[in-house]
Amino acid sequence: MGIGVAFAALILMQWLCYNSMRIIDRSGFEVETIAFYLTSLGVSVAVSSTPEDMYKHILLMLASLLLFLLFGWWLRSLRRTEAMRIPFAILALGLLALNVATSEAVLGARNWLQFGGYSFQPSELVKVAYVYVGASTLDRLYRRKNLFSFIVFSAACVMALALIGDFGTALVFFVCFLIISFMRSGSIATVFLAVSGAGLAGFLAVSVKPYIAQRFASWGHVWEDVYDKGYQQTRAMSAAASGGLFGKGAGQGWLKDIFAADTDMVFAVICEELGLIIAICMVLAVLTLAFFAVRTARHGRSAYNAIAACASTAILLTQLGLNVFGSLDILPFTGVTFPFVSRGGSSLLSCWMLMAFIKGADNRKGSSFAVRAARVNPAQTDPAQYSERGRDYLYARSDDEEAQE
Amino acid sequence: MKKINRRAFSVLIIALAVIFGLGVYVLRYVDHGQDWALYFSRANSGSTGELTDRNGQMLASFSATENLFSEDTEARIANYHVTGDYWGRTGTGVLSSFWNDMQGFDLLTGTTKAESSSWQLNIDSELSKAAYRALDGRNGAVLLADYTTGELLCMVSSPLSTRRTLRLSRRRGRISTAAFRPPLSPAQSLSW
Repeated sequence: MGIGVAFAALILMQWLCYNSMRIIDRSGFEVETIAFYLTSLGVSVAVSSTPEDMYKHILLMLASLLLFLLFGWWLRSLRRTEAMRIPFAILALGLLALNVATSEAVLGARNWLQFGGYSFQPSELVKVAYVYVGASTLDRLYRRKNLFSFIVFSAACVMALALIGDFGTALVFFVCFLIISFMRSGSIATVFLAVSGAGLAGFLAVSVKPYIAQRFASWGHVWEDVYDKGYQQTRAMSAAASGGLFGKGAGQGWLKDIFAADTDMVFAVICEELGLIIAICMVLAVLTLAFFAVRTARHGRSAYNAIAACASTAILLTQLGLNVFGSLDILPFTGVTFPFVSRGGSSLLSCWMLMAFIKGADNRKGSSFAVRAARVNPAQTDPAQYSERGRDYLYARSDDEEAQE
Repeated sequence: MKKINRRAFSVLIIALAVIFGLGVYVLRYVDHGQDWALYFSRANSGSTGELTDRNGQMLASFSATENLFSEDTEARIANYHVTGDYWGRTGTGVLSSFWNDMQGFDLLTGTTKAESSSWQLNIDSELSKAAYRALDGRNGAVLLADYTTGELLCMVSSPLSTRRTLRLSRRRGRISTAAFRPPLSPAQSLSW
């Protein structure tokens, strides 16, 4: 029963999205199509692992879609976006601080926050805020104060995540930081400096607290300790291989009964139940999104949108890489979620919100709801009378001018 | 602004890394997929396989922990070319040719069965022993078929590879199987 309702809800959501876009005369659905494809796979995983939570999952999907639309609309105005930058940063830091201070370990992970009977992962929502704040700062490229405050903000986020012990998400933030800082400075030397700085910090952390290294000790040797350190990875690999190319059929696998299979080892669950071909398509879908984001960012309407889209894509790709290759013992096992597919409300919400950034960079005529239909041609506009609509061009100009300085 | 847009390509570095990782996984899957897939089905459910002759005498048996041959040395030697081995040194042996079916794994369809599998051959290992004894180290082969049913009862090649020929054959990737070579291939032999 729950299964039928879930898929019916999914189909209804797609029609809702399609029709509401057509009403406002928008015809670009690339981002939504990919997001819905991945969400459907997520429903398949949720149905087979926790059928009793189906109605909760449906509500979360609806909320995600609404947030996506709302957030896309919000990003239409750069002035509004800009104005909320500092409140978002404060909110993000507040959430992380609350997480560090109050959270109890839930089955070994401290990245959960209990809230009136519900639990959620603040770090997922902080990802969105991080892109929001990070990209916002860049419209004034070379102002030291902005750069400095962004670095402090990034360091605070990564430190908080390290304190919680969520190294996977810390790495996701770090990669996002690298992309943002490269896009803003264009300096490879800066990126190398940041990477070596992080490497040094990691080395220090490992030498001061050796237990951190032990968490990654089984990497590459999981088959030597299949009942303890390599427990999850070996089972993931075994189940993934047993599915072959076409899978055992939805709900027919055994991996879903292993703890955290539907989040941390979701690639293997898909391999086992739906087959390697679907699992590879799932990865290719996110990769397509990356190519789409890069393409739209190249013709993006402003520096803010270009950087936000690329930063969002970097987050999704890094999460995908850590999730898939962590469970298959190609990378250390970190336990981050696969975008859209892993079961988990906060993760789904944040992924859909990141989609809004990608959607916001797409400025083809009549394709993105996150861009206003009427555009102002800067050549015909008196710079002294820039309207809010024209601010996009103002940013574009100021970026160029500052870059030339 | 243009500069920033060009820098968007930096994201593709991560995309390339993901494609590379996926390639690594697919290669590993082709190479080790069977071991991975069968590890827990064999270790947990105790799934095993056995190869027997027509009288139910064990020629080879395998499980998660050990792979065995017949305890009878003579039977082991006489039937060597029929049973083959676990390391694929005799390409024509049953263990090499049908290993995937016996294990219940296929790269395309994944695991096909989880329970133990038992394979019975038409070969009579006692007949094979007698034939091998009769050949007494001479070059030759004995093929014995029941002409009423077409069942092959005995298939023995002599001499059995020595350590030296085994080494050579490993280098060349095959082993001497007199019974299969013309003019003594089974079909030819049986059409006499």
